[in-house]
This record gives sequence, C-alpha cells and structure tokens, in this order.
Amino acid sequence: MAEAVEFRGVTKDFGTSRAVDGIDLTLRAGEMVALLGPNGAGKSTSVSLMLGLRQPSTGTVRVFGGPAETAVKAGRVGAMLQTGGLVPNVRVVELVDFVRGLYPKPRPLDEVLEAAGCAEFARRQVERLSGGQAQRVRFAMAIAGDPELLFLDEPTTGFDVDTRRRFWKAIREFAAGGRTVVFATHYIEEADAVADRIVVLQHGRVVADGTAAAIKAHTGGRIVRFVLPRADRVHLAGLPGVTGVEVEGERVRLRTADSDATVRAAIKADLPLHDLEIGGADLEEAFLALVHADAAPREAGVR
Amino acid sequence: MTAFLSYTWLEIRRTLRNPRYLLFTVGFPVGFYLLFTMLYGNQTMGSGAGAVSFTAEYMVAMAAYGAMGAALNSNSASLSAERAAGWSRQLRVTPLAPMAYVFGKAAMAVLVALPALLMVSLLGVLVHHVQMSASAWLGFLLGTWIGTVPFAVLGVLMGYALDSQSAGGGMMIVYFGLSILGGMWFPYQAMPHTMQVIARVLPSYHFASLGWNALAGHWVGWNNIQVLAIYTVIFGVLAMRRYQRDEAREYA
Repeated sequence: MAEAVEFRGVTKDFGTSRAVDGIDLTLRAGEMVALLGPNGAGKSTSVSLMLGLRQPSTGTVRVFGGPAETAVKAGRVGAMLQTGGLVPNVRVVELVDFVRGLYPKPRPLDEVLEAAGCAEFARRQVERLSGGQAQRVRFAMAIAGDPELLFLDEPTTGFDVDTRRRFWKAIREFAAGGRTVVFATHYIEEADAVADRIVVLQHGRVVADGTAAAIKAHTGGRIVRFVLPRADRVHLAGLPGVTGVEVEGERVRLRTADSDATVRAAIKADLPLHDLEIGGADLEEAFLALVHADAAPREAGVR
Repeated sequence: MTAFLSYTWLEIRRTLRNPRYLLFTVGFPVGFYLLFTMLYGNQTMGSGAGAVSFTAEYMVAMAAYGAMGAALNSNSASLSAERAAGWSRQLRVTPLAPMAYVFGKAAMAVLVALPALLMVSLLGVLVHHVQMSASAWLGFLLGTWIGTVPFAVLGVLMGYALDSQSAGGGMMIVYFGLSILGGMWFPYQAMPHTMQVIARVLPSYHFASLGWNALAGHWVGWNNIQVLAIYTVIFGVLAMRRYQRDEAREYA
C-alpha cells in the first residue's frame, strides 16, 4: 500500500525543550491511526509536522511522497486542529462552502453539513454556536474538501458521550472510502475502539506501535485476580513474574509477565486464595505500563 | 486567484455584518455629516473663485474620514484577534496560499471603504444639493477610494505588529490621531500653524486633499499622490517584515 505519511529520524526542538525526539514512522494509505499519549508527549507537534505547520529540526517528513506543504496545497489533506479558530460574523454554511471552494474535488455542500451534523444550524452565525456545535463545524471544514488524508487533533474534547459516538460514526463513514485518518487523543477507549493501529508516544518518542491487541499482548502481560484475606503486598510483589500489585480489601490484582509462574508460586506458598481468574490486560493497563516504564529513566536525564 | 477572490468575498461579508464596522465607519461619518452641516450649513469656506460651501467641503472630509476608518479598522484589531484565535492557522491547513490571507484582508479593507464614501456623498447630493462637475465627482470618488490603499496596508501592519490586547486601543489612537490632525474633523485652514505643519506630513491630510482638490476644480494633486504612494511602500515593507517574523515564529 502507498505511504501517506513518512517520518525519518524526525526531531523537533522549541528553544531548549525537545517536543519530538527521534521518530521513525510510516503511515500507510487507508489506515485509521491513533496517536496516543499523555499531554506533552509530542502528539500535537507530530500532527503539526505532518501538516507542514512546523518544520522538523532534523530528519524528514514526507506526505504522499513529498513535502507536507505540497500535499496541503494540492488539497489532499484536511485537518481539525486543536486550536483551529473560528471567526465571528459568518454563517456556518458560508464558512463550510468557502472551504469547499478551496479544494479541487470537494464533497457536495449538503452532504458535508449532514455528515458533520451541522445541517440543523447551518444558517446560524458561528459566534452563536455552542462549544460542541463549533467543534462539529470544524469537523465539517476538515472534510469539506473530501481529502485523502484527514488529521484530527484531540477532536472529541468537550463532547458528551452521545455526541462522541455520533462523531466517530461519521469518521468511520468517512474513512470507509479508503481514506487515511490520523487522530491524536489521550482517551484510551477511543484509540481502542476506533483505530486500526495505535502509535503510543511518550516524551516525543514512539514507545509502542501496533494494533490494540498487539500492544496489549506485548506490554501488558496478564492480569491475575483472586480473593485473599490479609494480603501481604510485599510478599505478592516478590512472586515470580509480578510487575504490579493492587490490593483492594480482600481483592488482589496482579500484573504479571508470566502468569503461569506467578500462579504456581502462589499455590506453592499455600496462600489461602480463592476465586482465581487469569486474563489479558486491557489497553489502559498496557498504556500505563508503557508510559511509566519510559518515564523513570528519562526524568533523570533532562536536557 | 479564485481562492484569493473567494477569501476576499468571505471577509467582505463578515465585515459588512460587523456591528462595530457599521457604527464606527458608516454610522459616525454619516451622523457627523448630517449634524454639523445642520449647524454650520450656510457657511462658505475660502473666498473668491476657490470658495466652496461648507456642506461640500465637509462632505469630502466625512467621506474621507469614513473611508479611511473602514480601510484601517476592518483589519487591525480583528486581524490581531483572529491570529491569536488560530484562524490563520486553520486556513494554513487548506489549499489557500498563505499570502492570499494577507492580500485578501487588504483587498477587503479597500472594498469596504466604499459604503461610507458613497453614503456620505449621496447625502451631500440629496440633502445639501452639493454640485460638482462630472470630472470633479470622478476625481473625488475615485481618489478617495483608491487613496484608502495605504490605510488598508497600515491596518494589516497593525494587525501583525500589535497583540490582541493592545490592538484595539492602538487602532483608536491611530484612527483618531490621523482624522483630527489630518484636518477631517476641523478644517485645515482653521488650524494653527504648528498643526498645519503636522498635518502636511500625515497621510490622512494628503488623502482628504485628493477630494478637496477635486472639489476646488483641480483634477489630481500629484504631490498628494506621491506622499500616499510613499506611505504605502513604507507600511507595506513594515507589514511584510512583521509577516515574515510571524511566519518564522509560528511556522518554523
């Protein structure tokens, strides 16, 4: 499949702080990719680099095989920025239609308004919209030109659950035509539910990259749960394979790299445990494991 | 080119809907013209062959005042606020060329100078029966319209040079300073000598003079045009520098 976005050895410094710290990444056309990470992980900077809004300090960024600006100028890219300003004294329909007019092959106006959920307030002026409505207008502007590659930087911030669900439904419909969607988020559930591929960023680096299932399998290990009266944290942490211990009353939750060894040792030690369960870690577990594993050594070496 | 024109058209529609624009740059000149010509309507300015009625002289002054205000103010403060809000950034992720944003803004500013110019002129004709030869009308209207270019460029410059907090106040100082010292509110002839000297270095005086010259029967004032051209170049160069500095900071 063709490459939509390619990062080769990309770094980006702002003064003395390094926002992107050596990313190599290839996003293929047709993928739905989540850039997942905590605040300050370099998600927005990466999106800015992909859009040509920022230039890398070192390395190269290519979009559809050329500079990002060229792809943007050719109308192959649409974006919903985190701080994409809307301006007053303009009607929703005028704004969306204006943006459509900038692209070579835009989607029909009614279709755009409908898909983005803006149809019922299309005649209203932008400054009279609620926060959620304004967000939908920004989405309409992003898809108005029917771009091949769509960027969404934390698109659902400020949405309620229902709006969020409808929003992702619209994105899936958009992506169904073989288009590429890249979205930055710190909502793990979103990445898990929506993306084909998750790229986890931490301190400007890619710390994991794969499907949600692969990331869970690779990093999270297994979760062992049981009930144990008077659980001894220290003892439990010393069992083979254990990387995390949570105790809530009598309920114990162990994260382990080797569930077989952990369980065998627990039984051997004759712990009075019962209601034993072994399961896979969820994405959140995997994510937290990744983020915490990476945080410690790097905090020591601040540039 | 189509993208530039469609952006300019979007900006024109936005400005014409802006209540501040309607009040300050159309409402005030029209109101002032009606008020002061009612108070001093019978007076004559100058004497002999060059004498003109106050109603005609003040029509030119208020048309210039409104046109200049529109050209200057439709950008400065709002441009600064929009950049802060990320509007120019949003446009950057569309195929619109970055320079089309700046030129679209300037073109809009020149075009929205027309309503005040035409409204005040229309009132001069309808209410006070101001009479000029066809060529004088042409010189006055065309001169006062095209003459807004340096102020449109100044508005863009201020939109880039000032942050969104100081832009509103800065714009007011520049606007009223240029209007008063340029002889639009009080006639140049009635000014003390020092103020006349100040007026002669300001673009606003030379701008209003284009219309006054036409009114007095002269076709154009080459000197006035030269001064305005020099100001356009100065403002343009400064605006371009500010723009490039902004580019280097925001998009590097």
